[in-house]
Amino acid sequence: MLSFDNVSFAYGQHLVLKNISLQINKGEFLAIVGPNGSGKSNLSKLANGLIQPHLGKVLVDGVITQMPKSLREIRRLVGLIFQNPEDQFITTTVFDEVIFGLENIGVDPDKMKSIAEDALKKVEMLSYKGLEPHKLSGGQKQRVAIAAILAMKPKYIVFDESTAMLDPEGRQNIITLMQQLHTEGITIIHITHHMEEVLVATRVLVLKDGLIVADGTPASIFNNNIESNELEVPLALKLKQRLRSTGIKVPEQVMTLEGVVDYLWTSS
Amino acid sequence: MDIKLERASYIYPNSSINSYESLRNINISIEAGKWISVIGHTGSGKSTLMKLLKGLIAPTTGHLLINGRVNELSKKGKAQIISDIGLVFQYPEHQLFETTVLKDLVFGPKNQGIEMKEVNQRAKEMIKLVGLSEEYFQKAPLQLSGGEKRRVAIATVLMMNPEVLILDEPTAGLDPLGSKLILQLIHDWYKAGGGHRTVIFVTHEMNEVAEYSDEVLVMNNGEIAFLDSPLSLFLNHDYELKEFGLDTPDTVKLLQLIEQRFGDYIKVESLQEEVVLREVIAYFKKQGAEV
Repeated sequence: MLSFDNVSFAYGQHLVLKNISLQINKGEFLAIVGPNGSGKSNLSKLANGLIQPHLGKVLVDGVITQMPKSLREIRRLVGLIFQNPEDQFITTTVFDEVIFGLENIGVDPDKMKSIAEDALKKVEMLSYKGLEPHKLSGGQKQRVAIAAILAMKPKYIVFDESTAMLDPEGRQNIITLMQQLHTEGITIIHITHHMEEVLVATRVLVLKDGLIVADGTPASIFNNNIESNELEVPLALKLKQRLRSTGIKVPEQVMTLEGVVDYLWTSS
Repeated sequence: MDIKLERASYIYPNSSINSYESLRNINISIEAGKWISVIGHTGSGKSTLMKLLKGLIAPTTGHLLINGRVNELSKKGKAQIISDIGLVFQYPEHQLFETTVLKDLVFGPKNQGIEMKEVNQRAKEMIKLVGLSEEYFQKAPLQLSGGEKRRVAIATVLMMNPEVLILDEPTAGLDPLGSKLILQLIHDWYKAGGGHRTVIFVTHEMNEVAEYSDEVLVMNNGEIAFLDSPLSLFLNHDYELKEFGLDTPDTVKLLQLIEQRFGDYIKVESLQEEVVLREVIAYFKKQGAEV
């Protein structure tokens, strides 16, 4: 379990997270949404000890992130994928990029090659292993970054707007990969602005001005005035609301365009 | 300003291995007053095309014509920058370098030798146009939020009073409401030109394309695949777009779902959200009445 106990975080005088308490259970697929500046990214950096709370504590499987001794293990357990993977690349080939992390955590050199290859295979990038990371497309770079994390055998992966700079196809590939990793038992935390990506999550957290303003299933979040939380209203929801106001009662749990049209078809 | 590329190609120097982002045989004519969206897979050549239009790079073969005149190369064989075209790069806030917002705003026109009285007047207008106030003049760009920085950066380009505004993914990385605000501001600027201003808008967001464009330019592998109205492009060529790894706007998905289920194609004038929602609601009301 990832646990935030009364966590506050500030930049100078500016409080970006205000007394946050939150438990993320194993096996969850949690989406975190909220406007720019709501504190989402700080939450992700706190989760693996990249930054430390000014008040309160963060625990990863019961281990507090403030303990310097446990930091290495915490960073292995909680992988972070950022918006721009290029910022994280340091080596000259795709393969070395995955090996690098393994060397850092002291994996047996005899086993490194097969671990790295397995991870690259999982993200369908094994055939690119000799290439320079900078020659890859945005989506491919992102998959290499994910392979480097997977090689460390994490229990949690935080995707911090990892799809923001990708084209639609690249974005869809990453979402599919997230879902696959989730079914394999990895806890996924996905910070995003794209509301349609939120629908695949099991739980949604809405952050605003450093506070959790909503926490629930995608259906409950979308049906409870999401405009007031400054979120984008997906077309499916607008359609549903308009239909309801003309007397066509599309059920609350219908969330997609397909769902709305199917409902209208079966009820007509 | 009319912009034309004739049989233009561009091959990056030193690109012996891949043809990534290079351009082949580009023929396009952009008339004044249009809002053109440019879409395409990453690496399809969109950003290269924008640099070519602005005159930052010269076509390897072919010509760039501005108002019917060939944009000749300089004596050194370099491209000539078209000053009446404003280019907003991706992440334009990286180009804010002065200590205050005002200094950043006046930098360009001041360098052009425009009278300071006029420059200051423009600064007042532009800061307002991007939805900020003169209180921002003395702030350091670093103090601003991501969305505010982006707006100041766009204002610095508008300070040059361009006839054509090219924007390369101006909303990347912004939250949905921040994106909407920026697009609305750009649209206001565009409309204020009374049909003389042109916007060339590179984006991955198909809903933005549906909402604003007169025409959509689709790039694929360094070539122009389509130049069409949003309505015709997304309804008639959705299959090809999928092949290129491109999505369609939500409004198109909705119309197609209804067509598949009910067998009726709802006729719409545009793919803008309000227009499509109105027609769809009217359709289902009628359906309900018949039952």
